[in-house]
Amino acid sequence: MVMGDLPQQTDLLVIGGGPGGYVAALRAAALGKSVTLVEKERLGGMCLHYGCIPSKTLIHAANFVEDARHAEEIGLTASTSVDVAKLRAWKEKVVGQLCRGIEHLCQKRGVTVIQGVAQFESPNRALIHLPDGKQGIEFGKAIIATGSKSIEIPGFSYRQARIWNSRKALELTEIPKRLVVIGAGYIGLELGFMYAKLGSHVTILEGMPSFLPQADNETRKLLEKRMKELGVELKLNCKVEGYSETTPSAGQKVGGDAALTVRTSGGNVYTDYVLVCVGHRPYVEGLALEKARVKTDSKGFIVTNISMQTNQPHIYAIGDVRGGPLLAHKAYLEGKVAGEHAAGHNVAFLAKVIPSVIFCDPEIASAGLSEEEAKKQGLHVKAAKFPFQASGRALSMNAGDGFVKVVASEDNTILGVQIVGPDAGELIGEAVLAIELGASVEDFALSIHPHPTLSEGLTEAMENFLGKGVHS
Amino acid sequence: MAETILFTDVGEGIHEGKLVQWRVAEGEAIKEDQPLCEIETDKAVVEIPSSKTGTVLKLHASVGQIMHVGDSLVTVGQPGESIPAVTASAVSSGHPSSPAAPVTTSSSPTVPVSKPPVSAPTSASLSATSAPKATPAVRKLAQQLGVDLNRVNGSGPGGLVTESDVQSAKSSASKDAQGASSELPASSSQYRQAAAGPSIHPALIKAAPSVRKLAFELGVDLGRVQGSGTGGRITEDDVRNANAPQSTAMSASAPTAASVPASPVSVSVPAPSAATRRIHVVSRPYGTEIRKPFTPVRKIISERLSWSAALPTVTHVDEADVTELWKIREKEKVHADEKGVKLTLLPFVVKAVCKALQEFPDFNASLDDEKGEVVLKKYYDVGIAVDTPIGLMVPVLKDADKKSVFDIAQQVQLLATKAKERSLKADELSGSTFTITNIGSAGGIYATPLINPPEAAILGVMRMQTRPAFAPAKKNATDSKAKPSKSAPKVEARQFLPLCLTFDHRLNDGAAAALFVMEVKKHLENPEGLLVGDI
Ligand SMILES: Cc1cc2nc3c(=O)[nH]c(=O)nc-3n(C[C@H](O)[C@H](O)[C@H](O)COP(=O)(O)OP(=O)(O)OC[C@H]3O[C@@H](n4cnc5c(N)ncnc54)[C@H](O)[C@@H]3O)c2cc1C
Repeated sequence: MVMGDLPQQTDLLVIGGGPGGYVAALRAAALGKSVTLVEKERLGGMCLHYGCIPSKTLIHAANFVEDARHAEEIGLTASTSVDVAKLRAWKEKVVGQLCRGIEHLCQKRGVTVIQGVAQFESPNRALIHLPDGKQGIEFGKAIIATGSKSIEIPGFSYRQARIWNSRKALELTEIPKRLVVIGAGYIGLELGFMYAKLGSHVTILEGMPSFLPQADNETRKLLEKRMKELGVELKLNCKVEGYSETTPSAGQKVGGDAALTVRTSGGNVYTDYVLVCVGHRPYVEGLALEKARVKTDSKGFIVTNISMQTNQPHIYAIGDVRGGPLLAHKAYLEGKVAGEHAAGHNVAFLAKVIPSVIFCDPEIASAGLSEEEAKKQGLHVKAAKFPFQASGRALSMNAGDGFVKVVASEDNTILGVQIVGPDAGELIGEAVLAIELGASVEDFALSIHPHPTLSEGLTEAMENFLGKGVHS
Repeated sequence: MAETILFTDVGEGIHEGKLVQWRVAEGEAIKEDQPLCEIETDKAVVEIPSSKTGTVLKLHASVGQIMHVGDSLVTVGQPGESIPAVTASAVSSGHPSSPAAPVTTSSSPTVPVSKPPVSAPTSASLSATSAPKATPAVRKLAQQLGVDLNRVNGSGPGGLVTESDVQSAKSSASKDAQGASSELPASSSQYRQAAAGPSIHPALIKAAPSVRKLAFELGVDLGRVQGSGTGGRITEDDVRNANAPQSTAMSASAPTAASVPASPVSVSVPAPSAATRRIHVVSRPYGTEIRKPFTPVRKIISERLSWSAALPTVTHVDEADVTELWKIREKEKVHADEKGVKLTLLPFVVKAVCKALQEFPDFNASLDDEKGEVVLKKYYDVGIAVDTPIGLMVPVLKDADKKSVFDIAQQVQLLATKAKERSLKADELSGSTFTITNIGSAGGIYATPLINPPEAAILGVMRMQTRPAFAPAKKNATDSKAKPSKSAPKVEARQFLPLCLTFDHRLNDGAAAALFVMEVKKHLENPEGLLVGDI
């Protein structure tokens, strides 16, 4: 992947080539800086290789399978089977194509890309561990974009073949007969649903009395309903204590041919693989941040200002490693801000909202404040909903579960929108724009949305807010 | 050990200034307290002295650049020594004029420094880099309010900084600011909004992303801007208008004490890009155009005069026969010259105006719109408009009524010199109750000056004219034989001083203005009264 020789010095050293890092490098290079990007694996980072893209690729396939299973309900007969090798190859093709795209962009903009591991030696110098040796590099400015890593729980080492983190789960080596997912956060749910649709019997274990804290009760009910339909077992208040390889004799009796026995506060669970999704922590190992005298917070995230500068103003941190919601699009914008700021422009991260999408079933998307959050922050808000059951388009897609909810201030300024239902992720962008522009509920309601589409759900919710709803 | 000297607060709450001149060069040996450079702020050009003795290794900024508090100025060390990192591990604060102990630290980051060297190049408010524990919302609020989280003690669990911590840090800061700068326009609605307490919740700010970007670039706190768009949306123009600086070159007026809003502590005022600061020449289809920066001083003038122009004002014009006064002036000028004082007619006019103001208190007044009260000022601080190369300045002659003509002449001369050298202090630019503009020194017959808000009136003094005119009848009745009514009026060369009074019609009517100017005239035409005491 080395696209150039490692220079002795550079205007800007970018460490990490994920969504944050490569975007920062491209921006700064476009603004005339000499940029060296050091990535220890492949360009695209977690997002491209073992995060957003592979998960969404496989979720798409899994939804396909699931839809085919239900095709009969609408008068179609189809039989599907999953060819794991081919599916994996397709996922790798998607990832490969995108990865080459990033490499090409870097080449075109003159970013020197180096495969290696960067380690600070001082606030202006780093040592790069190359595949074949080490070399020092002086930098004027640096951007740290090293991302995050899945947290391990004691006793469940990812080095064990049957203990997965999300990265291993997305390698798609096989579709296990049984899969235990520890942690019912968004990644656990996405991957749990995915494997369930691909054919695994999935059990999700959650230590807390509730799950997916960012969602409201109605959303959680819809998810629980769907889990039942998919045969996914959700065990709340369930603390994991450990696991053991099941000896054939003992396993035979209770757990069938399951390879593992997971001990929990609620009894044993038998499974073939365990997928641990209990969150991410900043990835700063090996960076020697102390040599750069860059400060981190108590959780290890690098602290920055809104222009992404750390306590060393010439060193920036972006993306997952600086905390906040661990999302690729947040990393993108931070990358742009840092890249431009490092190139001498006076810019800052000024977005009002960072939308989020959970690619579950139904899909869940959110932008801005929820009713609860707004109230907690002392804002006087009103909210209104529109159920997709009343949407022609949703019913025509055989997907009437879900709703659109709008939260607005007393003077009808839209502060938040939550969408649960088909293509929620595609629909939320419009809400983001509305909130960023300070649109009022009325502005939204008066904008014609094409019929029959799911986007009408948004206008309907707005009209309900104004007490003018026609369809619900 | 090389040290980097930073640009520190030069006092008066100034956060930024333009580097107008370097006084040292790289490689030059310098002594502590030797001036390093000159920085032009809104109000003055200040010299930044060195806090170190040594050799200048590097100048960190270039002429024309906008410097913010915390930016590196120079690195000083031994000749040949290598320059430490961009923001050197060892920093030292340049001390302006106060003998503030220069902070010097060794390279160990653990040595406590009185000013944390974290300042981001952008601005002080952004320097909350190593902000302790605070949620993003709190961080954002702090950013909005210009509160440095590093200086806030968290009251939440584990030292977590809460919103109310930030709010209270802000209110104590603005109290400080209130003491420091009382130079805020009293009755502009925009600023009243600004004073209306803490900045609003960020989610409620109605501004499109492009507008927020502009606000960031200009350092405008959107939470304090009133939107003029539909449903209160903030437009780009609103942001630009709000960007007019809060300090005033054009005489910082003394607003009615009660209505002085706390200065919306100007948070980050980031540097405009170099391009907007340069003068450039553009060829257009119609010919060559030159584009030059609209300077900070001009912006202040613009803001204040736009305010003034919106008032319902009327200009009343009259002229005083100053033949007698001119004679006195000619005579006294000789004595004044001996003392190195240039005696013009202006000090006499100041004196006459003070007397007239005492007779007509409604002209030494301002309107407190909010309370619906007229504030009559029982002190007579006369602003004197001075033309300077960078623009109009209005230094203030304090207690003008208590001063002799000679004292006034001397002080006006001093203030004018300071204004031209831009060495006026903030308090010499604030608090005037009435302004006189001596347009006559440049020429002209009549003019319609603009009021210096929140004052009630301004007097424009034009160029004295010598014209043939009838000599006035002698009022002195001691010459019993003189019967002016019978003798033919005599034409002679006489001196006239045109006076143009612009007044705020909300406070005074035309008749009062005419009488006021008559009163000024009376004193100028009977100058003996002005000379009571030593001239
Ligand atoms: C299963 C899963 C699904 C996800 N789905 C979504 C989604 O749908 N939408 C979304 O927005 N986000 C999603 N995310 C989160 C998203 O992937 C991250 O937020 C995003 O990748 C963060 O980008 P980054 O640039 O900060 O870091 P990363 O993408 O993690 O990139 C960091 C890079 O730095 C490299 N690196 C680390 N240390 C060094 C070093 N010392 N020297 C050189 N290189 C180094 C790493 O190899 C890595 O390539 C998902 C994450 C997971 C795990």
